[in-house]
Amino acid sequence: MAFRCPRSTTEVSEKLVDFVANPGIGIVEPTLVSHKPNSEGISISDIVPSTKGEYRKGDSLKGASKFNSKKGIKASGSGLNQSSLTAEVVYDCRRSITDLPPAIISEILNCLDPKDLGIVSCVSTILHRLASEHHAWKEFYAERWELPAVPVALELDVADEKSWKELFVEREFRMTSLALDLTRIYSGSWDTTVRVWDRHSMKCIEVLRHSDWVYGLVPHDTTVASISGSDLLRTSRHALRKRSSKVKYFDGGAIEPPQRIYTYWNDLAAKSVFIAKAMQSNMKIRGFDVQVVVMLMSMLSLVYCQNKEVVTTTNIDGGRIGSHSYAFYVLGDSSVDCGDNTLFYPLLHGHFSLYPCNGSDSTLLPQLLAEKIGLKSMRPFYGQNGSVEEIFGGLNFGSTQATIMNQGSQSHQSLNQQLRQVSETMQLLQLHLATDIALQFTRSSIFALSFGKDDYIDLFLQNSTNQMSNHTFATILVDQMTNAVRYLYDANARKIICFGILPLGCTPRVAWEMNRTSDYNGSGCEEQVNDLIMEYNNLLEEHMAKLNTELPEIHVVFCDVYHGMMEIINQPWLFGFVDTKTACCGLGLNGAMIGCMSMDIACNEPSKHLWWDLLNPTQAVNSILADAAWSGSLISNLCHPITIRELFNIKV
Amino acid sequence: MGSPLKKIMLCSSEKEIFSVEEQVMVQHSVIINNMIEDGSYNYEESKIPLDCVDSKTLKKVIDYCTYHTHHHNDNQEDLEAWDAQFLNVDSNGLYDLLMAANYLEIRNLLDLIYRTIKNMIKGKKIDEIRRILNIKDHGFTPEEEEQNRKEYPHFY
Repeated sequence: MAFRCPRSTTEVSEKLVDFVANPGIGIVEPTLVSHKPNSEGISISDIVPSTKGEYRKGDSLKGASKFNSKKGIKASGSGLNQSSLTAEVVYDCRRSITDLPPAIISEILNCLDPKDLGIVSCVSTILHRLASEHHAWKEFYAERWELPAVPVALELDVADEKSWKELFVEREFRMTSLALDLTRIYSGSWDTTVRVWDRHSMKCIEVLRHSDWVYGLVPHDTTVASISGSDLLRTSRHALRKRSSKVKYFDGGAIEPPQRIYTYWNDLAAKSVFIAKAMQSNMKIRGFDVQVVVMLMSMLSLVYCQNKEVVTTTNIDGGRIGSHSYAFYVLGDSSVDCGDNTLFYPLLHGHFSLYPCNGSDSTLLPQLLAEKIGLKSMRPFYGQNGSVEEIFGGLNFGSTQATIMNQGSQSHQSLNQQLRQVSETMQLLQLHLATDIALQFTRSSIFALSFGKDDYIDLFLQNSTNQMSNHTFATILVDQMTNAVRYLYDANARKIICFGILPLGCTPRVAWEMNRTSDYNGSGCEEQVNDLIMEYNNLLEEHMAKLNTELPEIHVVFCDVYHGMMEIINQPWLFGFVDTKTACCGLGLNGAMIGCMSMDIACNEPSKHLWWDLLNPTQAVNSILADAAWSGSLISNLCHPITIRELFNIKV
Repeated sequence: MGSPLKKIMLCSSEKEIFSVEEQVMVQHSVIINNMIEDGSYNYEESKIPLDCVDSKTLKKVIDYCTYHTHHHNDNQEDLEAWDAQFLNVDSNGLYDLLMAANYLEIRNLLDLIYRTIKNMIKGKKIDEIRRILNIKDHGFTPEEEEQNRKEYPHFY
């Protein structure tokens, strides 16, 4: 039995298999071994775990085979004359790693991380070839980013592995940031460059140079904004702005028809891109949602770029907006939303929800007014599908259970949250339209505010811990409402409707609750509650009137829903109502104990009822109020100083 | 697995014969394990000729296998310290060990050497790696080398 020194590890395997396959043969003649067909050698490699990975890829190693012929390994090739062989093999001068068989070098390379593998590939041509072709690149790539659905390599007529290395190197090893558009790839690198690549030829067509490592970039058309700085991670936001952000431009040149170059860069984009980069590595620790938010921020800034250009190049006109150059935006509580404007719809709001609630809210006052204006498709804020057209059509930010005082929750958005949503929506509008057109659109649009009802419901029915005197409570609420109007004014709203609270003391629920401790009067209304509501309404009216004189160009209309409804309650027969105490849809005394849960328990003639359920008037009431608010019919002076129609017709 | 007391003979390239506990080699070397298992080794007569492995290297390999067989219960730190001491050889010695380990398929030893070489390379600049790995002729043309240095100044 004689072992022959392998010329390379492949032959180890061959011999081994011979050995294993023919246990009876004590001696394997080397000459026999060398005549074994190659295929056998390959199939055998399975039992040689240390090398099998490479031998599957025999082709990729061929290029390196000539390097086997260096002293140490070549000598073992002849195998027959063993004594001369050994002397030659071992004891020569100091050897180099490149004298080792490629398979073994490859194993060593396998242990390296991408960065070191990249460095090693520059050490010598042999290592370069081995490292560049190394299958590990694909694994690195897959591990780092997962394999792309359509490998870019398909378009290139080069070896798979090489592309993987290139792809990996582009993305990770040299590059700190990468972005692409239809024709180009943009890469930022810690070699201080921003490179622009043509996607088809995979060639670099432009190199832009920073003075320091590049951390992130945002391309847009012929502009690419990039950010660099070596100790960026430690710099404050201020410092970031001061010395690290930098904008570079390149001209598309022959790749695309020359276009105007726009420069746009803001701190938001700089920051978000940078954070997005930093987040990448920390994603698992920091949590998913933060990352998403950051990405959205940078998206937003890109959108902004885009729209600036759209505006300047195509001169968008009013036609883009659709048939209207105005919209109707509603903010409010359960008086404007039946309960479906929530991220988590259908989430029940207990008996605050108006049933049925099918998403249109078409029985409520603001919605009826919107129809009069000609907007029939006003959507709940959370019911949007994301298209701009919906913003043009008007939005209902209102949210059942929304209060002026308290913070929102998962189920509803408070006044402040709704204001923020309005503000965001108006900004979005600006992104989609030219600034002046968006401004005009906002100024022509009507903003309706209807709050306070749920604050007082909280106060009376929810055993609120509020220790304030009733007067202070009303003052604070009205102050907040005044601020809200100012906020909208700052957001360029000029036509604002402010609704008062309905006679809450007359609602079946409140009347029933209060009746347990005090007396009903003849009309079925709880005067104590109504007095408080009136105080709020009067204060609100006063402040709105003041705003009309205070803020230039503003038109605030106050609609006194309370007095409108009290007129109906006092003379129901004039308006065709029969029952002003009992809820049409509800159970118990006056339908005030259990709210409307099903149309089955609703009365037969809702139009004869003032109240639909525990706390809400019927559509018949709302229709009368809407008519009165619109044109002043039936109930005079519901809205003052002008009617909604007059407000609508004002040219701002 | 052979019985612990049995000895096998290994013959180096210089025809020097080493007698080793069978279990030591069987545990570590896939090749020798295969030989013993399929019964082709004759305990009375056979010597396993390892023509690629010189005496000095073979002795080290046997040392490694023996130590790891008898000390595999030691704590990790001690074993690592021993390994480090064991591999404190010049690069020629390291390559010889690598070739021998590869030849005999001693997985642990191979991994150890791969890791060692990796650590020699890791985090080093290109010029350092060339010195460590004893690469005298890197094979790049002066233009290529110049290009590389320009493109990746951080690596040199």
